[in-house]
Amino acid sequence: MKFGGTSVQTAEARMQAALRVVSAFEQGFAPVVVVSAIGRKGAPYATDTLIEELRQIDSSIKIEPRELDMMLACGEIFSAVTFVQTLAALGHKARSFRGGQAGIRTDGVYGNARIESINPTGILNSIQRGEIPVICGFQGTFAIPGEPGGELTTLGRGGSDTTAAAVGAALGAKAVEIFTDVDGVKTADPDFVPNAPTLARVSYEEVAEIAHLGARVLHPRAAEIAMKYEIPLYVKNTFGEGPTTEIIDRGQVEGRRVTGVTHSGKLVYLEFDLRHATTSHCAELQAKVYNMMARYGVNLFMINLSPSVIGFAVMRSQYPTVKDLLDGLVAPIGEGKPSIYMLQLGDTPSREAETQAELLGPLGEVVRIPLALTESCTIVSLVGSDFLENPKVFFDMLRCLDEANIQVWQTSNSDLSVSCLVPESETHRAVARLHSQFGLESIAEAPKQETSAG
Amino acid sequence: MSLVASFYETEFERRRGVSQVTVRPGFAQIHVESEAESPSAFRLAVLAAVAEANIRISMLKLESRGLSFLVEADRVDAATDALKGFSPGVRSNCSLIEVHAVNMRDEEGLIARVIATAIASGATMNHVGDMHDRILIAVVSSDAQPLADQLFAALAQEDAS
Repeated sequence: MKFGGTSVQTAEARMQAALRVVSAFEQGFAPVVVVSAIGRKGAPYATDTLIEELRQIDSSIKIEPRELDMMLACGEIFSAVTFVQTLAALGHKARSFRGGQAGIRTDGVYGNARIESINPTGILNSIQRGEIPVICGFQGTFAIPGEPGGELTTLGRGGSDTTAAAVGAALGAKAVEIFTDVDGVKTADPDFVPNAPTLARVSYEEVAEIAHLGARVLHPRAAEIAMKYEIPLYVKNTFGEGPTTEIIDRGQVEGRRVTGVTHSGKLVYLEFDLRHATTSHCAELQAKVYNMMARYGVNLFMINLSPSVIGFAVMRSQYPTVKDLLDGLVAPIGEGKPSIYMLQLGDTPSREAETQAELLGPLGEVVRIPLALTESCTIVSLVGSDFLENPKVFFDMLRCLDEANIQVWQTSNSDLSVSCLVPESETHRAVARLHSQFGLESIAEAPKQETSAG
Repeated sequence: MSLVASFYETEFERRRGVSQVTVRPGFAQIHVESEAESPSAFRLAVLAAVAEANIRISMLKLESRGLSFLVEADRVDAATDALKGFSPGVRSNCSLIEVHAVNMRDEEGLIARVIATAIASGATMNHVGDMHDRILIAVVSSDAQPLADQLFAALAQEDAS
């Protein structure tokens, strides 16, 4: 049973969560609890607050990833111990575990570690003693040969969901229940589609796709682990008896082509027009741009690569780096007197670019490659099963957006989703229109919660 | 209460970085463009025609004056028939390379690295698409297996190091 930040943020919330654990225990289950840090942004032990504590010391000094992980782990430790005391107040023995004490071993990537193995002996011994184990989500340890103790690591985004699924798998759990502050998995963000129904059943693959493409209800790493070990996953609301989503094998989900509409990313779309470049130089020019993006760790989305265009979106947070790298970039290509390509953001070159062009002129022909920029984009996606079996899905999606006068800059697709890059200002309308176009409001609402463990 | 731990040391998450490179032959790329001022009505007309003919498409890319997409090789004739009025261009003998890496949009620079490696190989690429767990590269069939081998050698080794 995993409880997210809002499910443990106040004494009242923790009591409701603890009562759910006690109920499972009294029904004869052996509940194992995983908790996130208490509360969201602004709460005293929330992740953002802990980072801010370090920044306040001297914001100009980089926080080492190892030290950041040590700090971040405090939030879950505080949460776990507090939860143990809440269970104790209800008359139940409980015991807190840091990730390492729970036997969670990870690789050595601070801040984004992956779980490599779990030795659940400590958890099992605790259960055998009649205790309820309460495990800190989001963390594990990494052994450095020759050094005692092991290094603490954190698992990155969605880490507590991942902990819950992995511990569930290690214990051969009957089910993994993810408790949050919303009813199950919705067909769309309820902030955008207030009447979005809660899905009764959804496949592991679909929920992973939904999560990858923006829904925040469950992390895809958790869905992938549950799928691998065939453990039923449930998403439930801690604070009510509302609908529940059951996440199961693809074959058990009844025919339903479209499952949901998601939105994700604050992006900037860049497109280079290569029509002015000599055809035989295009590949080298493209390689230079992509090598540069690789070297500086830029993450790319919605790529368009053709002989006449280089196009991709980057996260807005990375755009200043990308701009510095590409605006005015000079690439001499060709033997003898080469063509000197210069990337230029917008119609008017910067003064630096003008100066560069003048200096380079004697060395070869300077060819400006204009870089068109579209700020404030987002990805809106349709998620479902066997999309590509339906030839109409692209047409229906693009027509729906066109009829709403929503511009689409680029698309991408998989078997499980079709995504469109649209203006961020149109996200709300795009999600709502697509939700309606594909009849998602008429999907049968999931049934109300029953007992714990499913 | 009796408990049996079925796993004591269990592998969970997939390794980061490129895990697999596969090749799927049997595609063709259809390319359609128009001189029309606004391409959106034109694109919709093209997509309506292929949908009407019940032709499955994949890797749809919007281009400044039109669009392109992949169809299965045995549906090329049906697609060109359906698009007769649009003067489609066809690149036959196309294969699809899939470069798999879990959560690749979270791995800094990985997607760019894959594409830079593919470009450097000199293979004739018709099309590139990206998703959260793979990159799709539509490539001339004769280049497909050498490119796949090259990508795997360059990127899987890099991850292992």
